[in-house]
Order: sequence, then structure tokens, then C-alpha cells
Amino acid sequence: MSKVQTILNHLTVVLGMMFLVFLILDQFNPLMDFTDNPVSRILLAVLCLCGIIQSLSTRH
Amino acid sequence: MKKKFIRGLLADLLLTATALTVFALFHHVLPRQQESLGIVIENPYASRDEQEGSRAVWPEDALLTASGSMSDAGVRAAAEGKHSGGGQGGGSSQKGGSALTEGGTQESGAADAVPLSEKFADKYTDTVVITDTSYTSPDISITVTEEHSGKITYYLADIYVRDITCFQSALAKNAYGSGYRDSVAGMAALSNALLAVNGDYYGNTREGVVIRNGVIYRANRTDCDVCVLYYDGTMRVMPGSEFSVEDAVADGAWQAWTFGPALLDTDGSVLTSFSSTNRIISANPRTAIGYYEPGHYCLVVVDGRGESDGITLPALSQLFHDLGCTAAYNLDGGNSSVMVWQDAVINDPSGGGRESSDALLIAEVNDHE
Repeated sequence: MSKVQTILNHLTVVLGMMFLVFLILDQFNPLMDFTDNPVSRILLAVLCLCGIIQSLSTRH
Repeated sequence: MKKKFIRGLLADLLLTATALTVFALFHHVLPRQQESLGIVIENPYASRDEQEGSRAVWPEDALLTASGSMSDAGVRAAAEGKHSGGGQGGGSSQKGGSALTEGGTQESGAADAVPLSEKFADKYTDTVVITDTSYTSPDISITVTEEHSGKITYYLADIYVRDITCFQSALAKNAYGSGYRDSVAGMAALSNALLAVNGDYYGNTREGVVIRNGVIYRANRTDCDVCVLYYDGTMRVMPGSEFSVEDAVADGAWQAWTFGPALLDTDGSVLTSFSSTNRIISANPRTAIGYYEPGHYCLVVVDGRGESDGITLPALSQLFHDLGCTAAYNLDGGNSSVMVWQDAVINDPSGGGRESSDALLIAEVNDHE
């Protein structure tokens, strides 16, 4: 597995787990805005890109 | 192969923990000033008397209408920065949520043709009189009682103010931004407050309206109900979508909080359903503000998660209705709920209490012997 794929794998897992934590925390305290703030939106975009790149790379 | 997989998973967990810690540090923990609108709303009733010094006075001859609208005095706003009626788009996250539908602004109390200076004259004293449970002066009358209702303990502060500027807000570290926190007792001490409770913890979010002591710091969109206290003593609770900076300036807003929800309907009746999470609606320690009529308010702090069971939002709504309030508004609760009276924390804060980014205070603004 190439280094890029390894990094993408780890990045996807880390970002995915972060957002699971955010979603749980927002249930307890919506005030804190864990999922809906500028930084989280950037992280979400990165997670989406990782998922798309990984998906496309596994097709070939 | 299996060992490699487990090593990779442990590495991911460690990286996730590190990333979450760094995120929390920059998102919530480290103090960071935020850009403020900096719009100053001047007190239309302030008068400068060379003999008495600068002070804010009530409109002695003003007769309030049913809508609590201001008298002929105009309001000037000195805009020092951006003047915005809205800001970044609000998300679907709810603080306390909303209980009002659009067009459901709670107006002030019943019409009364008695001048303010005479209305509550029996509540004030010519000199300062202090007891364990009360404080009276020419401008302020406070009575604090501990109440019990079943397994719920709450503290009720019944407040009359002749000068609305006695009803103040304090910002932690005297700074506007995220990550600034202080104990309610600390903020009360710095302001020489007679009475203090935690506010809406504005520093935990970027959405909503923040008006403190006549300064508009923030006016971003929010799904939450907004509570506004005006210079003329009226208090209105409105859906966040109905708040506008222009109206706030024109109507003379003195304080505004974003947390919610509203606890009474537009006609002052009890609310039984709230669009918020179950965790917020369920029994918790709570802080809330109630409004009877201009010049008469109450602050309630309910203990919970300990010997006291805490209170649900519907039950809190019922409480304010039973107290006779015409409007009421939920503030930050849980471990944040703290009431300070005569320099001491008098309730039993859950978890020992929590520092907050702001506090509501009652403090003298005029010298009294």
C-alpha cells in the first residue's frame, strides 16, 4: 500500500472518529457547536475528500 | 498481520485524542477575542445634573402604555464599527432552543397609568437597609428566598429597580470573546454586585445576539429565542429570526441574551412543548429570568443533580406562571447555575459550579448614604 493511501486511511479514521465524538457531544450540549463551526466545516470537507479519493483509488 | 492492524488502530486512537485536544484548545479553552459590532445604544433617559453628577434616571412622568413603548425621547446610536442586521448563517444547533413561533414576540406587561416613581414607592427606602434576605435603597429592592417544591430547591430573587442601569451584565475578564471565563462570585465582586447569577455563556458559541450594558457586541442569526431588556424597563422575548439591530437601537435595548427558550407564551400562559433536545428539556439545574412589568423582575436558580432533583422546562414554565410573570426566559443551566447574594454563593451548584463567560448583576449605580 502506498504511503499516500496509508495516510489517507489513517486520516479518514481519525476524522471519522472526531466527528462521531462531535455528534455525541452536540447531543449533550448543542450550545457548544462542535459540528457547526468554521473549523469543523473544514475538517468535514477534508473527511469528504479523503473518502472520495479512497473510493476512487480502490476502483482501479 | 493482526498485530499490524492493532498497532494501526491504536495509532489512530492516539491521533484522534491528540486532534480532539488541539481542537478543544483552540475552539473553547484558549481565550480569544472576537470581533465586536461595537454599536453603542445610549440611554435616552440619562440626564446630566451638575449637582447630582452624571446618572441615569427613569422617565418620572412617563406613563407606560400596554406595549411598553418608549416615550418621546429618541435614541441615538453611535456606530463604531460594522452595522449589521445579521451575520453568518446560523446552524441548526440550538442552545436552549425556541418555544416561540415567528410573530410570537412577548410584549411587556399590562397597561398602567401610574408613574414609575410612584408605582413601587413602597418597595424602596430612603436609606440603604440590609437584612439577611433583603436589600432596599432609593433605587433597588431585592428579596431573596429559598423555596422548596417537592424534591426541588430553588432560589427566588424578587427585584425592583427604579434605575434600569442597576440591572447590569458583567463579562469575564472584562473582555468579549471565547475562552474568557470567571466565576459568578468573581464577576460579582469586581462589580460590587448585590446579587448575581450566571448569564447565557455567550462565549461558547458564535451565534446569536449579545448586548451588554447598552453595547451590541454580536447580532448573528440564531434558531434560539432572544431576550431583550430595554432602557424603558420592558422585557421582550422573541424568536431569533425576529431580532434586528435597527429595532434594538430604535427601541433602546440595554441587555440581550441568547439561550432560551422562552418559558411563557406570548400571552403569558404556560408552555408545555419545547423544540429542544430531551436532555435540555429534562430535569436539570437551571437559571432563568422573569418579568412582571417595567421595573419588576425576578431571577430564579434551581438546584439539581444532587439533593435537589432539578426542574424540567415545562415545570419551570409553570413556576414562572405561578409567580405571576408575564414573560420569562431560560438562561444557561446545569453546572453553570449559580446565584451570588451578598458576596456569597447561596445555592448548591452542581459539580461545585462552573465558570461562565458572563453574569447578570444587580448593583447600585448611584451613591446612597
